[in-house]
Amino acid sequence: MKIYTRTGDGGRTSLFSGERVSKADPRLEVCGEIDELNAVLGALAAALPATMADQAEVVRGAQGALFAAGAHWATAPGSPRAEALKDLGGEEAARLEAEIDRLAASLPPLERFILPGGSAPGAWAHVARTVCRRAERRAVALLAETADPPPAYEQTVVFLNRLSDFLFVLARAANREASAAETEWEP
Amino acid sequence: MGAVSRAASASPAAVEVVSRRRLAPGVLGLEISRPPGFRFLPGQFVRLSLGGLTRSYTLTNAPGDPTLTLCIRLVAGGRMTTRLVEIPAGARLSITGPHGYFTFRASPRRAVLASTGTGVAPFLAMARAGVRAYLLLRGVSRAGDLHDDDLLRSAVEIYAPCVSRSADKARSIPGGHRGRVSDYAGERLEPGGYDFYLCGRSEMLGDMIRIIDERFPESLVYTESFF
Ligand SMILES: Cc1cc2nc3c(=O)[nH]c(=O)nc-3n(C[C@H](O)[C@H](O)[C@H](O)COP(=O)(O)OP(=O)(O)OC[C@H]3O[C@@H](n4cnc5c(N)ncnc54)[C@H](O)[C@@H]3O)c2cc1C
Repeated sequence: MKIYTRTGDGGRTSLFSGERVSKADPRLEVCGEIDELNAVLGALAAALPATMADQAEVVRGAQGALFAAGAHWATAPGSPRAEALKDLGGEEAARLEAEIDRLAASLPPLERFILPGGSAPGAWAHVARTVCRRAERRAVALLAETADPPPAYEQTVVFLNRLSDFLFVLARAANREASAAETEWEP
Repeated sequence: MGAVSRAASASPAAVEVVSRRRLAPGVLGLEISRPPGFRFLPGQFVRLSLGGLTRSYTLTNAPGDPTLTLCIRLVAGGRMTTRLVEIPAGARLSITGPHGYFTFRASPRRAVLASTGTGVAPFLAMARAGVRAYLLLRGVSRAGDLHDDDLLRSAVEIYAPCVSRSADKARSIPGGHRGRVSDYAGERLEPGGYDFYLCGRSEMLGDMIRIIDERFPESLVYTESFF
């Protein structure tokens, strides 16, 4: 299969629901953010040590959920095509909550701001967290502008919010695993 | 977007070759048994595995048929198709699916179907399921490749086989055109908004989409790229 079809050269692309739209369409902005987040999560999963295989699995689960979410944002609200998509539900967010609780219980409480960084996996988790927050901001903005938004929009926002919390505790857990000290911010 | 298939079974089901026949020169009709409980929508495909190889093939039968049928272009040197061309009845394969979203949606706009080669497969399934479309642009290299003509003709208002080689024969087919499907769309299709369903070679998809952006910008476009 040829990767280049040149069909996007005119700055347009197809939505899943068939509409030809500008690549500057806010829906594609959200899809692009979700795609970028997914790629960063891939880097994070690859960087996690073997001792954190369970967490890498959670990250991969989130990647699958993001794929499903992206398809909803690439579909014009109200299109019959939306029926073909997997319902997002709240299961993935609930799974993240359980994982956050589990990880947080093993970490010392935070009393001050920490600088994002530390070990390579910890630093990746911080990068992923910030990309996740940006995706969430774009999604929230489009959700607010959309009359009668599909349930998947709101479910995506909830999921992204939970995912960035998870990535924050994961960064701390990865740094602890690597014995990398957390650098506190000195104002 | 395979990750979002609804009701797609990821676990493989064992199937058996029921029959194999020649639909046209270099095009194989393969009939396989239908796994219990297997349901699909016309336009969806299965992933078929044989001896460690897996390839995608679009179902061409109607949803209620007792067996599943595929139409497969024999690719020179192709690893899977050179095996399938001589597979005997009774041979065992496995499939997953159904997969994909290239399904027909009723709409107030006229539907234009366009295929190259075995990219006509989803339109065979749709025709057998009773789908009625406005136009089918069916790209083939030679007039002899036009299997299942009557079925397709009955499913559309305008059936337009587009024969890119063997020019004289194109004229002898009722409604036949010389040239590519994109030539027809660029020159003969009247302006308007349509629902385009494009299936087959990625080059055709690209050519069609450029024409759609230029001449039919109000349209919807659904695509399935075979290679
Ligand atoms: C979603 C989907 C549905 C598909 N449905 C069908 C179908 O219903 N019928 C069908 O015949 N094929 C279909 N294909 C293509 C099929 O999956 C295989 O790619 C094809 O059969 C070649 O496999 P192979 O192992 O013989 O060739 P390989 O050894 O994998 O060699 C591949 C080479 O064959 C070329 N090629 C692939 N497909 C074709 C083709 N149809 N005609 C000419 N050249 C080709 C490619 O450019 C590539 O160079 C589908 C593909 C996809 C992605």
